[in-house]
Amino acid sequence: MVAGVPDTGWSPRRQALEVAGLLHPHPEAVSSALFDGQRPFFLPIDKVQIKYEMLRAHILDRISVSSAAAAHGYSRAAFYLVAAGFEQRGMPGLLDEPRGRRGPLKLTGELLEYLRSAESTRSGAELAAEIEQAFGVRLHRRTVERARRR
Amino acid sequence: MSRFWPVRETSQSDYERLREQVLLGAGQLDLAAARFGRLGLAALIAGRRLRRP
Repeated sequence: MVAGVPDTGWSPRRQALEVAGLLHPHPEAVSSALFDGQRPFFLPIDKVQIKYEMLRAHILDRISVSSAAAAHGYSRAAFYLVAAGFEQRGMPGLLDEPRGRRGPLKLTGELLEYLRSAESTRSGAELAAEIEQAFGVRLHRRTVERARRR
Repeated sequence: MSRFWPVRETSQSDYERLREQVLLGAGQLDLAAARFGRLGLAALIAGRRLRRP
């Protein structure tokens, strides 16, 4: 048992996160000292917790967006997506949208804002893959490229 | 990000309280800690959403 953490069993948390689809896609990229493995409370595979701590590091600890994003395994553009979700919906905004959303309204304002904030050197395919991972919305790279030209 | 701080939501205050306890090494077993142990922060958020009238 880790000091300060009731021993309610952390392995079930890991399993539940996997079942719920809430695993961080790149836990190995998390370098924040909180997630150094000394305190199981801070679990680098917990995507929702990581997103929260990323925002907290920027807002309360005054760490730059780039540094906060990198320390939590996210890109700068992904940081802004997470921040926008929180600004719009609060804590529930940290939970991912259901995956596999389809239909004519794929390119919401949120996604367009994401595309606008992305660096111009990034390819449509890269951004499409990142959007699918972050939002669960699958876009063709040409759709992304057209949207960026608007 | 004006919505982030100060804390406005119960799930966020629950998390901040647990976080502080962990960092201070002061354990306290309560319902929020048990929920967090099951599914992390998502459990605190989902729990509050389910109980919202």
